[in-house]
Amino acid sequence: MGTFIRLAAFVGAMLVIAYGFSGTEEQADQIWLMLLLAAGVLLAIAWWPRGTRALPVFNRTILRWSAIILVCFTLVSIQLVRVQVVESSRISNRIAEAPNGEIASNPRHRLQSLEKQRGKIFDREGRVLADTVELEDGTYARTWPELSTAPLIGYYSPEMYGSTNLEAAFDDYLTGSDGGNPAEEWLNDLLNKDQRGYDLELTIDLDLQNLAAELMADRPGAVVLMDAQTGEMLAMYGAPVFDPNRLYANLGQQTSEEVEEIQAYWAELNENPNAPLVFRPTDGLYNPGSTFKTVTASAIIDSGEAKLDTIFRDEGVFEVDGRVIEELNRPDPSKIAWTLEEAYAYSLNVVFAQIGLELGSQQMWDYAERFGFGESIPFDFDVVETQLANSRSELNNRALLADTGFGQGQILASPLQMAMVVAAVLNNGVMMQPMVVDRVIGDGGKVLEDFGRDDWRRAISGDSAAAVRDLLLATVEYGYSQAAAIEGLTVGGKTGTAEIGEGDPHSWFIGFAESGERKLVVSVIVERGGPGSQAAQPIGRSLLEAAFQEAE
Amino acid sequence: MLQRIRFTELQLLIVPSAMTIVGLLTIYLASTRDLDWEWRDIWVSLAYMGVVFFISLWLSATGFKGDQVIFPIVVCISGLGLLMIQRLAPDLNEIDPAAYGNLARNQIIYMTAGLAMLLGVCTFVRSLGWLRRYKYTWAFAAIAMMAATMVFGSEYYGARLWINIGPFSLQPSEAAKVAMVVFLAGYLAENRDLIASNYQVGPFRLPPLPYLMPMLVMWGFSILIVVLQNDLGTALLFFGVFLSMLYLASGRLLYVIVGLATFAGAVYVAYNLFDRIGVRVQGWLNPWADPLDTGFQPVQSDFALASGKVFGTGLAQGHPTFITQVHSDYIFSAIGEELGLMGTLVVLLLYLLLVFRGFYIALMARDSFGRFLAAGLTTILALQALIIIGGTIRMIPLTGITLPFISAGGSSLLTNFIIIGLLMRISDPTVTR
Repeated sequence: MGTFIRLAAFVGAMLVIAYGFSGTEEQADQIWLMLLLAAGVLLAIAWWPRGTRALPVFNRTILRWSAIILVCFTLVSIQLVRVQVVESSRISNRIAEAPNGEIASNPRHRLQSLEKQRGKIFDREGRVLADTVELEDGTYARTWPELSTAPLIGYYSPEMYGSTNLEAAFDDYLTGSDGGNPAEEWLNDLLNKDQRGYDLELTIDLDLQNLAAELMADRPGAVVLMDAQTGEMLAMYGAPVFDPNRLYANLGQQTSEEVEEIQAYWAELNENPNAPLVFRPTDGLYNPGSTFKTVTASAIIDSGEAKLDTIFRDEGVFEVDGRVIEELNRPDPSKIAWTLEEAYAYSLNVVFAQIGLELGSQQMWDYAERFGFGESIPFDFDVVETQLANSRSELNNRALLADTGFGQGQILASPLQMAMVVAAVLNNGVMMQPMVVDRVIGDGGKVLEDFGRDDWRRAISGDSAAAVRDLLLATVEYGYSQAAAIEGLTVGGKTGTAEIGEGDPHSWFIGFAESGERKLVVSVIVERGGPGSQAAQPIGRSLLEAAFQEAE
Repeated sequence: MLQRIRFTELQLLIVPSAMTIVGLLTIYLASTRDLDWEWRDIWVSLAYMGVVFFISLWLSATGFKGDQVIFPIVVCISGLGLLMIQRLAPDLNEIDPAAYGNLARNQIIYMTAGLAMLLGVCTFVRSLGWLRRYKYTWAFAAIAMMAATMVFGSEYYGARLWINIGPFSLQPSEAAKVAMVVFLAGYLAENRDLIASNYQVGPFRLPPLPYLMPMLVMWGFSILIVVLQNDLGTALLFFGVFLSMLYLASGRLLYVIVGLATFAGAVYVAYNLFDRIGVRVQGWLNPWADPLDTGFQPVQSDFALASGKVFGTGLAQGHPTFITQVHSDYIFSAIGEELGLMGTLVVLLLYLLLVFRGFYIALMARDSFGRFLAAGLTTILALQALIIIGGTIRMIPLTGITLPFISAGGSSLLTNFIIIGLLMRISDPTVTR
């Protein structure tokens, strides 16, 4: 047979196999078995011994018989590649239901979770947030005793729904397969030793976290409390919470009714319109409302185009390209000249719309970018991207630019993002990398990993940051956030009221409190909570107050 | 004297030596979870390699001139089998001490006995002539052994494969397959001219009746094995070896295809008639529909193979004992889990090397009987490996035959080592006929 036919047959066989891998469901799918047979015939054509006609019968037949056997072994190898590589994950995670309703799943998964004592997770005071307990039969089960931190830690349900947040991102440490001495880990692997997972120590303060939960009182929303100078998270709470204990599946130990309960809870969480599985502090995206004026003010100050006492006009109405912006926030409607500081303290939309236009879309975009808008902030687990506008070109629309200036428009910010803005202002214009996992602790309390406090990037200059800080202070001193003041502390803040269609607006508060060297930042959103000063601000204030009381 | 030393063989034996010794050491370390070990902890591998080197040196000493490649290949495959059984036995023993208590010990005994048989065949079978001369005796012996199994055999797992004699249980089909190949080789060598001719009846060229008759007998015999013993694997093996030898002698592929097609049809009908099709075909095509009962083993085997991925968990680090027949039918899945795709492909490659070396010996043999015998014996090993591995990975229905040199089982090990002994004997150019 010609070389061309052989080549064509070989390529044909490969195509048949490739089609079979993608187009058939299972290794014993009858179509797949037929395709294998067809590939076998094509391979036999491709590999049929040449020039055997002149040979004696036995020599000829044994060469051909060898080719047939070679084809058979090749088909077996292809099937093995399918089972052990191409579909290995799908098969080994496959869950089948027997006719009597019992569940059959790969017993290895259960053993792995039994053999490995998953590391615990502690708060900064050493209180247990996620625990691995030994059961009576010598096996282990994971529990989460504190519901307020559960969404931050994430769920862990390897046999059914996988894992999220810290449970997922720090899995290598929690299982003990990374972080220790590499040689020791290799030896442990060789000796098949039960590896005890490493523990995580968080920067979270459970008292403050629980206080955040109490203050939110089941209203959907989020609270972020962080140290501006280190990036440490003291509280990171999202509501509504879910109970990871009810998602933890240890198949083989649970009855089918218990498995059904887990499935029902999972379905319930996914159908809940308040989406409890979305971790709002990092993954909740909201219009930031007036809190965004902090970014606009930072931009105009840092670019040198305005100072705190620069005068802006606010006549109550402002029109740009047909869009009419009505001023509702002036404390004295007869006054039309306002300093930048007053405009910020009284949250004057007309002034900030003009500032937005003055900055132009280019500078607006650049400054937002410097604060982290448009990307996902580097954190201990992946967080969603925030945005200033749908696209750079869309921001050239002057009406949208004006809206963006005072915090409406197409901006989407997470509570973490807005906390980072205030943190930059407090930390001389530099944003620290936010962090929640402080240390990894090995056997006998040995610190295996101490995560550093790292700079992320400079947003604005130190002088500009000092000026913007004055804006936040003025707002509490004589502006609309006077109620946020706390005796004995230097407090600054800004509320936001994000109008979103019908119904109550989202209620925002960002702010800070200082005492001595300590500088804490808070960012609070209460979904549909009404004006920022009503729902979000009292929560932020109470948290800041508690955080400093505790420190004393 | 120096030219007599089998250097090629000795050098090739380094590979299985390193594999069995390091392999058993990792198994020992992984099971004790400690770095302390002494040489006596891996005495099994040391003893095995001791016997192997003794055989090689003995063959050198006696001036044996046969093939030097096939023995190291077999030592490699059976060394892997030794490792797998040593690794599985303690776990199985924990599950059922009554059934598996002697598994590891028996395996060592059988393996030593098998190697002794190999040495015996190489040393004492001076001539192949008597094998050929008594070919009808072999044929009768094969049929008698199979018939005895059908009548007196005891049933395990639904297949009637075993005969109990005192404390031993034998699997006569293992010896019968060799006897059958010896008979066929003798018969075909004698009658090949007759077989190659045609009968002309009017316009039709008919196949020569002299090989239609044995074909029909063989066909009926294999179907009987399926019906009476419920042993599709053995039937497939017998019929496959028969067809391939027929093809090797005649060069007519068409009859092979016709033979296979009618055999498949008959098996299908037989299974429908005897209502056994349900379990087997269900276990092959759709075990996941009933993962805890009829599909239990295939599903567990799928889990094991899939858990192995490319590199496997490492010896003694996986959990292949979830498969209940892991030491025999499903030992390939255990290799797949612990040594991964790399391990399974190496096993396939070793079998392929073995088979090609066997065919090479057949090509080099000096007379037709030697050629047919070598080709037939090699085909036994090739088909047996393909049938059981194909069943394990659900390409064909699973059948209860052993994976040559790897599965636990005395009859099979002894027979397979005798096959290798015969192949080495055939490859000896000084053998008298």
